[in-house]
Amino acid sequence: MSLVFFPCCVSSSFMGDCEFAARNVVNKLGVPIEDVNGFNCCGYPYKGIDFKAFILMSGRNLALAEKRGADLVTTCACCYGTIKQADNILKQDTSLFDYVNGILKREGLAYSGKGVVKHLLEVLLDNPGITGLKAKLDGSLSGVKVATQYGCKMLRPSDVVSFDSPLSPGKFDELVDATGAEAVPWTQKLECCGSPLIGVNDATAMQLAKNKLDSAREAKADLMVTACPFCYLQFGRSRDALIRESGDSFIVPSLTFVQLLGLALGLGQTAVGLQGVSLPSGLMKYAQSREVPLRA
Amino acid sequence: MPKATLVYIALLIGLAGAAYKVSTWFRYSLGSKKFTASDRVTAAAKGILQTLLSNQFASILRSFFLDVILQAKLIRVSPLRWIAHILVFGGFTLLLLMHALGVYVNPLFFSNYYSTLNPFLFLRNLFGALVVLGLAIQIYNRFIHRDPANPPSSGMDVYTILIFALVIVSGIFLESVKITSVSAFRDMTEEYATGESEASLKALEAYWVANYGVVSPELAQPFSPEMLAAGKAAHDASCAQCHAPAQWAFMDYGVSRLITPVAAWFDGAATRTSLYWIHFLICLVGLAYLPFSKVFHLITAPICLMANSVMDRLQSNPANYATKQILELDSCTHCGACTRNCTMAFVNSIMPNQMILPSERISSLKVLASGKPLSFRDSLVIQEGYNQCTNCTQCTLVCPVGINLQDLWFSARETLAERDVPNLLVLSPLSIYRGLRKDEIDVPSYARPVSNARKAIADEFGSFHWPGVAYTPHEEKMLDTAGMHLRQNAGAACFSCMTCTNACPVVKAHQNPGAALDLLPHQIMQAVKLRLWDLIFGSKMLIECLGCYQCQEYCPMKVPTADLIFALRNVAVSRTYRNISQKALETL
Repeated sequence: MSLVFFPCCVSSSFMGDCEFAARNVVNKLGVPIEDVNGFNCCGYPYKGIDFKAFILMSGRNLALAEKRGADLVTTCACCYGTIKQADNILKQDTSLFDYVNGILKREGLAYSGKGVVKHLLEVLLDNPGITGLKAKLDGSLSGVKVATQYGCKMLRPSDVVSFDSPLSPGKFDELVDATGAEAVPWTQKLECCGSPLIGVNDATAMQLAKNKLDSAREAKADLMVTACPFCYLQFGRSRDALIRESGDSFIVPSLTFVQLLGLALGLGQTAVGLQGVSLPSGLMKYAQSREVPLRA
Repeated sequence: MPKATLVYIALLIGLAGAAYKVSTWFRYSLGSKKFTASDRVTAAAKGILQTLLSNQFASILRSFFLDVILQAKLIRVSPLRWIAHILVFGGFTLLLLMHALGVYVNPLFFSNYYSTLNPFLFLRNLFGALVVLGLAIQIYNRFIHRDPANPPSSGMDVYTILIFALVIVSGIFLESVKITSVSAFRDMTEEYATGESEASLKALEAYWVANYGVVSPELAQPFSPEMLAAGKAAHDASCAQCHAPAQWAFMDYGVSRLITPVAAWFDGAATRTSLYWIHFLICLVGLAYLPFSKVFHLITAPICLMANSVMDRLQSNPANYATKQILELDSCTHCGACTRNCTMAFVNSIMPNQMILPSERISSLKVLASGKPLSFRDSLVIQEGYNQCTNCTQCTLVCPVGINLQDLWFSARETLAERDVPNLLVLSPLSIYRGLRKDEIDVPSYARPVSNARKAIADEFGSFHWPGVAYTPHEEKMLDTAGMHLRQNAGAACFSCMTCTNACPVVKAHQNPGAALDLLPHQIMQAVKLRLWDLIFGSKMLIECLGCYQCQEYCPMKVPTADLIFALRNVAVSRTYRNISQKALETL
């Protein structure tokens, strides 16, 4: 089955560098993922305010995947969980199924349930897989302690997502271990980052992020690594705000999993989009030492 | 009236229009009203001077060659559209210089300038043909090949293509009538072939009928070789010096062959003069109306492209940024590239609000920027459309004239927020974008949209109590699809073990969650059983649920807690929105 990138709105708005990094990483690993135009928003923001719009948007993306005969690949846990949930609902609810297909018919599309969405993490665990990855990574990130942030929608609702155990997930941790870094246990691992409340209730959003940042520090993590751009943005902005407020500069910085993989693959600072990102000095030096021309 | 006077009048109208447009760049604004027009003029002058003297000048130069001259952004959007645009732009500019202003421009380069001689005779047609080809592609793109992703064409789109087409077509027609005109031929011979005898004039006419496309009522082909030879002699003596073969004007000549059967009908000095005036006046109308039409992007698009190559919201002078945003509105050509790439445009098929489509928002942005009053209903429609945006940046990345659309939407949404029209879309992760740009928003304005939306919901549901409300079939469906059958009391399995509440990160984030959130998750489940809708829909918990699904995951009775909360929120939002819309209709 061929693969196509499903672009995440938030990533392309705030994290162009990470999108770029994702493409560099999959190219380096030799996983062919195509870029295709024409997708729409996954529907995540609409779930709480316009349920039908959410189902329709996810349904259309799946229909586009179906038409191309390709699986959607996203780097965003929210896009992933949202589309999966809509797929699940459409498979059970015939009237919504008819509604979606009635509208999609106008542009010659059809949702039949064959379209599949995958998280890039899931794709890489499958191909090249942990052993394959270990062969390609040189383990030079050893000594870096990582708190893995799966993102709510990677794990829950587990009967819909079924990517990993909702209570003690470990697949992402295995991937981190494969880079030579060490995934450490931390108490807030399963909690929400608080990003859905940014702009709605900033105080609560910040409190949730702070709880997680504190927990990662208690676990002696050097880095938080996220599988979702929302978590990444939330940790980054909360860290900046907390440093500004308290002057406490030992708050754990974060990276996305593609950036960590990129570093472990020797892609260098530019290729993984690390300009202007604050990292532990050792890791930064490592990233800079790996600086190689992009299209060598 | 002499031609020159008319040209000056048209030019004056055009310039006055341009001056008016330019004044709006400094007078209008989206968002910040802090600066007066004179502040902004001063800031702009200072900014331009500083930029030109700094190393940013290199960026401007680069943008001028790449984006303005070569139109690099357009070729990335569509190579076909790039070809069409270059053809029309290039062809028309060359026609303007070589043909319209030929009397002034050509003598600078050529010593012997006659519009009837080559290279001018041929080039005029060649340039015209470029424009015709470009226009044909544009007409095909816009009207024949209907791409469903394209936004609808506006009157202005039609006008723009029409004015260029009319200029060219009227010019070609005028020339082709002149080619066939025997009266024009005879006028010329009277003036320039004065010494010729009657017979040789006839031979000359025959020669021109045979070779130059003149349609003579008396003479008909074929002519004897002797006659043609005599005609050629007269031609060489009196005409050849100023007349290259008419076939060089390939389009004019081609059309003249088509009108040959009716050429006699078109012949006559009066017809030629009228045709000339039609062509001339169409050009003047185009010139006078230019600043009010989208052809004005000729001026604004280059400024916009170059300004955006060096300007940034956070670093540039806010006064200049406000000015640039209004200039951007005048740069839009309604080409539809933004809408074709919009991640939300598809939603327009279920929500018939054109303000969802980025290309359609520009007109309402102009109204907003001018500060004209908007009815409650219009504000509501515009606000709803603008706020559907997920801020994915695609529109800004593809805009061929380099408009920073995403920033325009941001400014416009903040301007609208000041009108205090309730906006329920802010109660969703769509607000994340706004939250991440919190530092750019005035502190008192920041919290207003969310508190207004909450108030609207509280007002809606504060008034009714037991025994509850009847649901529309749509709302029932919505609750059903979320996995909960309200009517059948599926929440009945809940026995208030509080696992959901204990797992909820929002609850844990508060010192006194009961007071802060009105209802805790398990209380919402109980309230559903008791149908205490006013309590549920008015509660903060309903809006502040993150959707992290911990409650649902850990529920021992498999109550779909999170799905139910989302379904309830949907009902709260849709009911409130329906009532606000109804009120808006009543204000009409």
